[in-house]
Amino acid sequence: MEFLNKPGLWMFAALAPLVALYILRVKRERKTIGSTLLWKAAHRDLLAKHPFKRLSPEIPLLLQIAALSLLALALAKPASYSQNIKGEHIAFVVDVSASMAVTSMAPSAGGNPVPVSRMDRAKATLHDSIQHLSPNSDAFIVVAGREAKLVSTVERDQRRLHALVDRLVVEEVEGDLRAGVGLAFERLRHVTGERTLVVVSDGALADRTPIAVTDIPVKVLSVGDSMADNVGIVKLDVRSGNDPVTRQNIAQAFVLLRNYGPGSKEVYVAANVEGERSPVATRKVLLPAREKLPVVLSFDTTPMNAGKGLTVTVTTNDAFPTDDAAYARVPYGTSLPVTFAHDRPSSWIGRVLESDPNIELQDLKLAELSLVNVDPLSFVVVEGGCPEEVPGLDALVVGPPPGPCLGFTVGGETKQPEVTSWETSDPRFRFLSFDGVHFARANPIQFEGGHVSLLRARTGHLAVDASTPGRQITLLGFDVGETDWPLKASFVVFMRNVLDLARTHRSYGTSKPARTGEALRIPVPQKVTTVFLRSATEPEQEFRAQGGFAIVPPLPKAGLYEIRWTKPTIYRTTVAVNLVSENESNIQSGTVPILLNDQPVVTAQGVERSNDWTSLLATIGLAFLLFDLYWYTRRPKRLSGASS
Amino acid sequence: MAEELFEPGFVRELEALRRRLEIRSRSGGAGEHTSKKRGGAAEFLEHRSYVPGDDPRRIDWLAFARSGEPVLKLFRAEEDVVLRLVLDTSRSLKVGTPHSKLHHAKRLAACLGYMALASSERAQVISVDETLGKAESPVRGRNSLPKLLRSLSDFRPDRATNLGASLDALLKRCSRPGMLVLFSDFFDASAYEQPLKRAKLQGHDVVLVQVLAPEEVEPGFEGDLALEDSETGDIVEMTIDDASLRAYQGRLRSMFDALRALSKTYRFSYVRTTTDDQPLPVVRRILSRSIDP
Repeated sequence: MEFLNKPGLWMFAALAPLVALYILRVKRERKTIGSTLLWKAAHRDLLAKHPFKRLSPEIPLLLQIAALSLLALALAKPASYSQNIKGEHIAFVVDVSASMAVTSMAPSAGGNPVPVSRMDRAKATLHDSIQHLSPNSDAFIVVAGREAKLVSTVERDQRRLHALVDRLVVEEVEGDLRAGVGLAFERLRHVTGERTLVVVSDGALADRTPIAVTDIPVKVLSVGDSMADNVGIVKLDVRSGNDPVTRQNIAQAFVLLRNYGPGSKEVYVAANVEGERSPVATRKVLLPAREKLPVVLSFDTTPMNAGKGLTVTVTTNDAFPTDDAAYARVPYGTSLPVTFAHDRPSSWIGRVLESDPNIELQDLKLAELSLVNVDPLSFVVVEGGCPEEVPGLDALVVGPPPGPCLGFTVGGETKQPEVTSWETSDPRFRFLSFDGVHFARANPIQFEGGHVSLLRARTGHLAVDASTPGRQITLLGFDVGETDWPLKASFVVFMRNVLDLARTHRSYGTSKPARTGEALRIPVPQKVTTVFLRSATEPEQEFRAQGGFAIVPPLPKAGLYEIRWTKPTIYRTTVAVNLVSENESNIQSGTVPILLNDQPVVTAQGVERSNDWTSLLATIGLAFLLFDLYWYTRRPKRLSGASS
Repeated sequence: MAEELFEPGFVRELEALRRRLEIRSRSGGAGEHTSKKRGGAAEFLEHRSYVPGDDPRRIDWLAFARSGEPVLKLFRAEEDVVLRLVLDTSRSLKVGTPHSKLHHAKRLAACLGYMALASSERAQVISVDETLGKAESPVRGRNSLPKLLRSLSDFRPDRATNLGASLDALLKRCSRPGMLVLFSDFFDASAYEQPLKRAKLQGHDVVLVQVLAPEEVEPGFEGDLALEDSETGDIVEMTIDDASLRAYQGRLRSMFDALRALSKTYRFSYVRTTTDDQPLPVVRRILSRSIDP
């Protein structure tokens, strides 16, 4: 038994004045009679001289004490639980996925309904379960977010367990309860004694494949409710394009909305660019019940807003606000900055680049490449050379001189190499063929394992994928001018593929849109050693970078994060981290599919206080008061007086 | 009082009843009532032999002449009777509906007084409260009725009660027995039983008339009250409910029983009346020497 509102017990203090009312003298109306002789003799308290009279067990007093006590207890909200966890070793697996943030209204101590999240209910359930652990029990807690994490070692101290429970927070991630149960099961499997696995979840699982457990008793406590009325963004994709009329660069946000509720809903969808006050695009749509609806938001992109954070929101007042917003970056326009470094007066590649209207070409000498400031997101083409470090984002290195280049070894010149095969599955070689292409000479590229050969000849590899993390680099071991490839359509297709890939890669920025709960791999220049990350709500964090990468631990909250580094050059970009998950947005609670020895485990209600005594006690208390009222107002029975 | 009480019809009723007024006690003085004592009145009773010590003047010399034996001639004596109307004039008799208890007692006393005076008996009204109060001289004859009524009217209920002491004083003053009619509510803690017993021993014909108010027999109030004693001013805080009413009724019944037992033991008459009773039936019960249950 627990009192949910302990201050209510102060009502017991009202017993003192109540009893005082019965022992204090009553102010009486004075009435003169002939003689009080018989009255004196009749009544035993005539001779009392004290201000208090003896407390006698009068029926109204007993009724009022009973009523007051019951109402005081009712005010304290007594509740008893039937969730005693048996066992010496207890593992609590707590679902901390995004749906645990769903709120529903629950009566408060003051009587007014207040929003209570499923996580609050889960905490209440855990506190209750911990409180009822037997003294010799130990327990540990596993949180099941996107990944399973052990938040404590085995604890016998209930106070510390309560503190750990208080620190649990919802992660805006698509949950994986299976991993959590698996982790807890593995830890319990190695201990002896009576073991129990307790799973606390709302039952709104992204993956409803049954979780099989053997031998260890499992108790499943659900903290969910039947709430399913939710509208959320379940997919977001932002692309750049050209307006068919004005030919201006525009961005198109493809938003997929889903209504999980039983009724249709009219909602507003708006796109806001970071730093701008008014939305750049809004749409009002009517969402049919239990249906998905794609919405396209178009807006102009300018050099000012390109690369900034974009927040798409749907205005709906539902219980799950997490999926009402999705994040992306404003894509760069279709125009791709290309840096072309070469020393040749005429180049086939140069002609292709010059002929493309969507390219902003930066023509450099090879020697200038390391001297000028190259856009970190530009596509760099190096012809006839191989710089030690290629700037920009993606790159194409053509016809490097023999020797080491980008970790490869460019071999000596071979005459008329014959193409034997090429990598048709690689997007760069999509829709092209090397049939009929002749090479006058080439420098085959030698490499050890770990890289992909794109174009193979009998004498060696003519093209290899020299990509590094986050950068797509293509190395061609021949001079295009020494082949008849430029005369074939496949050369144009190849260049188009490479440029399109670079354009797409650029639109993603430094990092692709990430999902909450997943580690963030940030490709950085090789010489960058420290990366800083911050969001509007989180303080700046520092991460080490090595080998062209910085790994950021899984981010629990969706939103726009700013990534920056200061050395060797200053750079700042935005990364969007999203929850968008159709499964997680479906907040409809269900049973937690756990099979214990192939038998389904019954899901019990976690925080429903089936033994809530408030109503019963209040009713009985009021009944006592009504009976007391009747007792006071009943007609006195008249005595048959003596006849005169 | 005379006007409101002695209407022609009422007087006729009293006239019819007055023959029934029987005063058993004799005062010892010469009067119209035959006495059990042998005396020197005109009505011959018998002869008795002379014994030394007898009054030689009562010797029937003619009989002595005829018989040679000295005999005394005895006659039946005629004695006077007196009706003593003793009214408790304490403040407790001030209450009552529609009249006060004292008023009701005065009416009954007036009736009895009228009947006595109409029968050429002596009547005397006496008030008692804490002590023996006003005691008018006995009056006789119809002509004295106004005086008797005036005496009654002069009684005021303005003192406390001590029936025991006042009756003691009364018995000392009125040594000659008579009919002693005591009008009181008997709400008195003093020991009045002993003086009444003594009155009986002195030869008084005692009639107890208990005058009560209807609300004293059946209290009509309830709730939390501070009951104030009209005589002493004592306050009794009471919550009038079933239990307290039941206790009061029990005490009242005990008092009735005590007075009835006293009356049976000493051959008193005991009549209980309330202020809403008509006087004539009460007078009839007094004359019939009843003992109320």
